[in-house]
Amino acid sequence: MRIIFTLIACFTFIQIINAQVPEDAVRYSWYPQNGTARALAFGGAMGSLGGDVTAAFVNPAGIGFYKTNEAAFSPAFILNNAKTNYRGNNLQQKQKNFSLGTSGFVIAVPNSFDSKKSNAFAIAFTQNANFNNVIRYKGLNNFSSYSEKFVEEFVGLNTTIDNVLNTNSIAPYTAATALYTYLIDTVRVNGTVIVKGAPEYILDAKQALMQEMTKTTKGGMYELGFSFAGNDGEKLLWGATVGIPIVSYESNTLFSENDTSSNTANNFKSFSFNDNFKTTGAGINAKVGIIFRPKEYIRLGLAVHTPTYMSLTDSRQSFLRTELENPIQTEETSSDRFTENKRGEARYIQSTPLRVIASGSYVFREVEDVTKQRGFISADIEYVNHKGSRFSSDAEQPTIDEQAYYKQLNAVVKDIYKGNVNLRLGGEVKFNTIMGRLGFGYYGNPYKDAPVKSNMLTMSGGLGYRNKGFFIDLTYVHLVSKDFDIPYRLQNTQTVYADVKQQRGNIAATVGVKF
Amino acid sequence: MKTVLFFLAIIALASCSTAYKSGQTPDDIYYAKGRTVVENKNRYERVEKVYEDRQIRMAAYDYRWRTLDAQYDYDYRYNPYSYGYNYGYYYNPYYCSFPVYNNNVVFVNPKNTTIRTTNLNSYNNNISVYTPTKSNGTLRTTVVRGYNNDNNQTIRNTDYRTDNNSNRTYTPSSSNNSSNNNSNSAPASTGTPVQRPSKGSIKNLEQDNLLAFLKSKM
Repeated sequence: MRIIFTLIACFTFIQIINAQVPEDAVRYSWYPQNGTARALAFGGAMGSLGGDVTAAFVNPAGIGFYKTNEAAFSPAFILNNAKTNYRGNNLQQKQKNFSLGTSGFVIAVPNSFDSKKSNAFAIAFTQNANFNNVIRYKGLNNFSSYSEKFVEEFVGLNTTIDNVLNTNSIAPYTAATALYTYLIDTVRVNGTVIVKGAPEYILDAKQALMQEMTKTTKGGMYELGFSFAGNDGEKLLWGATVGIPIVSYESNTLFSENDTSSNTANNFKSFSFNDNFKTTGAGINAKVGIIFRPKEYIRLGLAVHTPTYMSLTDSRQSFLRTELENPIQTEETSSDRFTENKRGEARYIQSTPLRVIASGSYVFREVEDVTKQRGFISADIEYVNHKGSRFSSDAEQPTIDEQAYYKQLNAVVKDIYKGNVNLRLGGEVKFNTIMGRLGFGYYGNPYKDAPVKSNMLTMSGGLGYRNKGFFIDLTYVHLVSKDFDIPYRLQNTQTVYADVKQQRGNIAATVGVKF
Repeated sequence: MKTVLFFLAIIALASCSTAYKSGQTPDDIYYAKGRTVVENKNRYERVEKVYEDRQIRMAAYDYRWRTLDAQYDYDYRYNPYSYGYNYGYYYNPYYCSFPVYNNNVVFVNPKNTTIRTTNLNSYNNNISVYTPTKSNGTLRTTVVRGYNNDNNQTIRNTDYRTDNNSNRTYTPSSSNNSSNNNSNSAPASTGTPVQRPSKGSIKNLEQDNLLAFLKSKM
């Protein structure tokens, strides 16, 4: 498997540095269900329903319901509104972007020997997670400084300043830039030489720092799926999807600290740290499922999604500007100075957690005549083992240091995340060619121990029209999420965080044709 | 990329012609009738006929197929070109007594230089808090991760002032490969040293940038 991932990765050599943190784990596992506009409208509860191309990414057995060929395309438009609270200060940030719901082709293959049996193929594309967002928060902090993160990292290296300040540094993005601009430096306290951040002089004087964070993220986690499903006598349906996820994630973080006092001799005035990194890569996964119909109108589904194994590449660059006082001095540098004037690049393998979906649905009037079809209700319950995400080196023979780091990283992931339960519920009422739908979704807290009990709620509604071989669906999904953002973590110190409450409107459409 | 996908999808959809122009759109979520097929009751007879036809055609080119006994040599009739340890290989003109592997593939592994580690110890910042028990109200110690988002309830940790705080004490190892707080060795940087600006020098960055710009134009 590693050989395959190695081949997928490009072979060019740039400075290669592994760069993974525990927050990377939940990014690729905690997101609301995406789908066609029709599926989104009834909450994405596709685990047992089938007959919609969304089933390829939820329960592939649902593709087995297809007796006709179909092509569907699902563009979407997203409006984000993030409200933050950081140490008593509220801010709001709006952002909008295009998205893509589940789109693809389904080809039904009737069985020449038994009319009660059939098969179906599907090739579908979807955006599992949408990373386009802006979070901004600002507030006074009398407790800790971002510079202490640089201090702890430098002390943890147990090495000299000269060893860090190098054109091929061992800590180019944080400690090297901080030491170069004197944001952190050595100082003698009570006869002991310690490392100290310049903003700590403000905190020691019982004053507060004005901190501001703007995090802009872009991209998405897309997936191309190849499904095959079978219908065995209208009683048991089975299916499998081989998925190829494609990751494109870009993060631009701008964090600044300012001395708000008028004192020009307290050693520190301000710093701004700009951290940019981009993650790209691809992987592979499988989804298998069955749908059982114990009685006509009743469908029971069970699906298992294997972990996704992804080969990812991070490229990173940072920029730091520090303004000091007493004496007044301003220094700035890019991390390129410490990475041979090239962006650093890291390659690694990440696996996402296992998912299990159990579901049931009741369909009113499963008849061929469209005028007599009346509607359905459907519900999914999903378990995601978020603590099961794992990181590993992409090297054939990782060093002892790498092995130790990944072991500790995986232990932290296991320690701070937990399995969660997601619920999806929805239904449709059908009036000949017009359909109305409502749905609801709840995505539980993936954190074992967090300052905020995070969750996501979705409420959705939509309309559909099907006639003369074509169909069009329109849906609005309103997502309300409660989460938090941690600008930096320090050892043996309470972690400062910002409350993040987000509302997201998703206007989705699907146009399709039966052929 | 999104724009390209959008237009590709529009073209693909527009090129599809529907077979249901004059009627209802079938709905596979409920139930749809598939294409009509003639059910063949004699499936196995037909399959057998196909194999017989194939054997006759092959026998016209290769005499070994003429001696084939379909009752017993059933394995390779599906694939007379199969390699390896298959039963009936002596009828296979392309027989090779061992599986063929290509050992000349060379995999180039991307080089790694150093590891950038985030301080994972900061994720274990467990702090003891005292909470009253439900039964008698006595205090008990609970270890939790500490978080705060309030300037009024927090006291800054100034332990770094103490002499023995390893989170802050600057004691660079004489050997860079010795163990350290993060249980990760710190390999030596492999480039050339970068001289940092002298402390206390008053710099005018705009002027510096201007000078650099002028030098680059000279």
